[in-house]
Amino acid sequence: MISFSLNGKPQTVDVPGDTPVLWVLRDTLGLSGTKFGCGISVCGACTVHVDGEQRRACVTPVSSIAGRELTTIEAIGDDRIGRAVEESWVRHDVVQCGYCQSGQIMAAVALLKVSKQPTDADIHRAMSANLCRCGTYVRIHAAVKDAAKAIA
Amino acid sequence: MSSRAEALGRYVACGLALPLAAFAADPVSPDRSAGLQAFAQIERVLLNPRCVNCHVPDGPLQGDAKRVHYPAVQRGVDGKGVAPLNCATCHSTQNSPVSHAPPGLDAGGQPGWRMPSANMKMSWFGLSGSALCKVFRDPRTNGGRSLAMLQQHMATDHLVAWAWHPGPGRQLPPLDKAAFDGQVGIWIRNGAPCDRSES
Amino acid sequence: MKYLYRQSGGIDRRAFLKLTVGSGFALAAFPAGAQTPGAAGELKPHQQPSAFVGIAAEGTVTVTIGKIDIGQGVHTALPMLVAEEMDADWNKVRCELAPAGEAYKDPVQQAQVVGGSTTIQYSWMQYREIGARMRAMLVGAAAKRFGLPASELKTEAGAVIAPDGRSAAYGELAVAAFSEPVPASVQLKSPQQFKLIGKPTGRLDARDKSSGRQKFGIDVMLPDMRTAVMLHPPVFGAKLARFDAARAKAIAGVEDVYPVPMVDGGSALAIVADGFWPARMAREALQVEWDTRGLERVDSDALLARYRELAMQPGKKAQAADTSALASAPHKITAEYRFPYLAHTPMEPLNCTVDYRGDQCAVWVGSQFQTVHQAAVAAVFGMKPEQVAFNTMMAGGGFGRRAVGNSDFVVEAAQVAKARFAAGRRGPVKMVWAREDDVRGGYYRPMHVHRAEIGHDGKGKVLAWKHVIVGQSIMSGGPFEPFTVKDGIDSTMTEGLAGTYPFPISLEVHHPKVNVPVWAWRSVGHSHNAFVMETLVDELARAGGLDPVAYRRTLLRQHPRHLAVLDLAVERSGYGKRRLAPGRAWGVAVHEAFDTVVAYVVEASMKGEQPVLHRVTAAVHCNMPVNPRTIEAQVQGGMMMGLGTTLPGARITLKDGLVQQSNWNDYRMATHADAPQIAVHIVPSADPPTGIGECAVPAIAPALANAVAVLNGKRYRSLPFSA
Repeated sequence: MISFSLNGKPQTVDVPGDTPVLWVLRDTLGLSGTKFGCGISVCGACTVHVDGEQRRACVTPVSSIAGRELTTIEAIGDDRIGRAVEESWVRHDVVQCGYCQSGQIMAAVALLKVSKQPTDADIHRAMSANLCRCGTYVRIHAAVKDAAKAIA
Repeated sequence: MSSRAEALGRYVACGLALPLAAFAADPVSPDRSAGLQAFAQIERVLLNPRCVNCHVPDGPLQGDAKRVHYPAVQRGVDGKGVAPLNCATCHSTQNSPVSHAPPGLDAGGQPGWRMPSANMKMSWFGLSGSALCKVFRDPRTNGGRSLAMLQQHMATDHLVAWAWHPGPGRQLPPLDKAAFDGQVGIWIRNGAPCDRSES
Repeated sequence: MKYLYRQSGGIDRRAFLKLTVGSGFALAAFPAGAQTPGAAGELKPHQQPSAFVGIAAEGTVTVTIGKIDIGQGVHTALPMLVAEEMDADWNKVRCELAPAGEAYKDPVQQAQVVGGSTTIQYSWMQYREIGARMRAMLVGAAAKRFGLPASELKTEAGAVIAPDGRSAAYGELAVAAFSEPVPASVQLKSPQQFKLIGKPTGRLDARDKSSGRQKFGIDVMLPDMRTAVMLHPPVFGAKLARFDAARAKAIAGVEDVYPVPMVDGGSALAIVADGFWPARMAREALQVEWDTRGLERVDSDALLARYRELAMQPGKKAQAADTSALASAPHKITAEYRFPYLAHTPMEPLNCTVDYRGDQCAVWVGSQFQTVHQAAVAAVFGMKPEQVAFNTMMAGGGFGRRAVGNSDFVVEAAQVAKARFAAGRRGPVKMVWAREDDVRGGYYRPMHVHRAEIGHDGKGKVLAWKHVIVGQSIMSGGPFEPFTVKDGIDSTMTEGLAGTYPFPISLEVHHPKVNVPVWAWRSVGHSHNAFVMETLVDELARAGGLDPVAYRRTLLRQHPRHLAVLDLAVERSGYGKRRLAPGRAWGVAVHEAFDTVVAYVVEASMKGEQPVLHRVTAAVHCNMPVNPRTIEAQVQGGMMMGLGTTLPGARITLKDGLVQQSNWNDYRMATHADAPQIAVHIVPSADPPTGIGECAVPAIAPALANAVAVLNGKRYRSLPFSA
């Protein structure tokens, strides 16, 4: 049995400890907002936060988050930065197919938590590990900058 | 002997290890040539991708081909990356069973993957022979380690040990762990020589 | 989201309506009245508002669209067409994706399909007419309520308004409206009257997709559902010879391992478990031997050599022209171009959920080809297509991969369901491909070799042009063959090469047969032909000492839309006016694909051997843009995908029959760091819209290559660019 905090509420699961958090979320707990894209941590669609830091859920064994705080895209609106990012994403019509965007948003929130006024280079560095096949990068970039202004 | 005395004895032994380093040669017959041969074996391991990919002057390298790490990441002050893209973002507490997933390592329940810190890079990428040996041996470049501490590090450090359990699809070092530890011992017992000119 | 299950024995209209109207909505009973048009002509199912529009009592208007949104924005644009003519309150408009159904077949394509950048172009009149019919029915209902002639009533923002100020909201009128006769012919607005169409409009799905709420095919969750992970043969077409599943089945959560046939004649194993992870781990524990006897084991190097040889030989004549002047031409360009296999790799891995119950069947999948896939599933079970309730899920990208003519992965899921059923298992099964399955799963953009021999006068005049293209035919043997393959020549391979510039091109093709499944990849033939044409045009210009823009302008005299985009991009970029920083150069390309023309003017520099794209000025002529925001986004995104084809690692290669790439670690695509500055400009037009989904992909790679040619004199002859 592995217990952790999920979006602010206590959660316990009974799965093998090396089950990736991604599949605990999707298959065990029925939370589908965190996405499966590659399974090897290269695309970022599975990005979650553990104790406030971004992690790729497809390679994070659930045993490693025992006792920790797990935050997923479903709780994005619970946080001032998350709300600003979500609003900016909607205002800029960032999404196309939308499948990568949970991960993009979680990565953007992680960036804005450590960098209040990120430069273009900061954004490129922080966001280039999140892949988007539809090519929404240009709009993501603008939305991150706008969100930074909103929370300044 | 009481355990307190044991502990004291160990402490004293360690404390004496530093000045003794230069004299840790086999008191019977330190064999420079044997020492150099041993280092040639050690070097093969140090330069294999599992080690040298992180013992670099700048950003880490990746894979058996020692390519530039994707995504573009930085060492950071403590070698754990620069937020928000820390090593722990992708490198978790264990290797994944899936090929090409990032390696992982457990450090007390937390992700333990990291590089040497920025002020002690322990970089030997691009070096070989006596130049590499000197970086490896000198406490000013090897993390402040005496020869005994160096031997301890090789034998017991988790990141070092990872090289022999790297997860699927990664080349193992050219010597097995026991053989490598053995060569480190031989090198040290024979004076830890780096080149023929040393007396 | 209501999932549709068909009752056995044919279409269940009430269930059908539940999907379009939804629970808690005013039930728009499918009245006999709605089917009879009144006066002239039978209205067909695709013309009936009741299939496309639902109005709730509180005023929410739900537009059900037959087309899947794979990112290209039809989930917003099609409802805009309906809402415009209906005078709906846009703030109350929602959109649902229709299941497979007769009403949802595209009237032009005779199938429910998204592809070819055709949705808006083909749906333009259809959806507007539906909106206009709905408006007429609402007005008719209001006329009865007010006791006034319909001609005296106006509609605005979701209400019918009488001259004396009385009004009735659409929600109040809905039930009555659907009892009104459906008018066959309707009056549509003129563009000057548009309130919605042509205005930048936020996507209806933006909020859900920006908060993790949007469900995709891979997110389907049903009671008693199991997950299937596949083990595909390593060589295309191989069959299972022997397998040992003992260790796999011992893993906790694994139900069983089932052999299933593949559409290409090979076979695969389905590992079924109570979740993806145990199935995925069980796959690692399988021991399998494959029978590859008699199969071609493709090797990319050998294939390239074979193609190069073919390119030197006469082929099937696609376009005739006199090449006799080649021998005596004062100047010649001889160029061989090479293009690799490309995988689509949409972000959402391929997946399909099937619930087979013996006498009924339901499917959930993000399909670009619903009616064809529905029929293919029905064939697996010996059912009629109408017996398969085929639910369209939102898809995480398509690019053509979700529209394969032989329904490959959809049939595969059906085969898994069939095998389970035969083994006595019940309940839905969700088949999920791992990314490796996708990268290695075939249906690639084919590999191509072009050979061009051009005789010119050194002043920009082409005297003769002999061109050969080698590449597998995508369409032969598939459902589109009658429309695309003539005299053995697949037009999807030649599209975009000839027909614009007045060059006397003699074009011949070879369609070798290769054991690699291929299909259409975003922009299809344009994905290689535009690169060839726009770089050669540039080369001809420079050989003649001519400015590449001026040269194109003379050649495109007869093409006002090409001129318009070229001029707009040139003007907005500052080309010819603004001096670039040292080390930077301009590059230009213009290309028409699927009736839309795109021009790029780019600024680039070199970083060592790698080009760096700094700034892109794009101009697009898609006639009237329904939603300019979508047009802009599609150009930005298409540009990124085209740019991606230039990057090292953007290719699929095979060795001894095995695909060498496996995931995005070694099959590279463009990242955020690669994104240039880009400004998109739309040429104003009131003509009926053309497409955009694929149109921006082809021209960016040649524009960048043309800039590189200025920077270092090097002409790239392949994608990805090679040093």
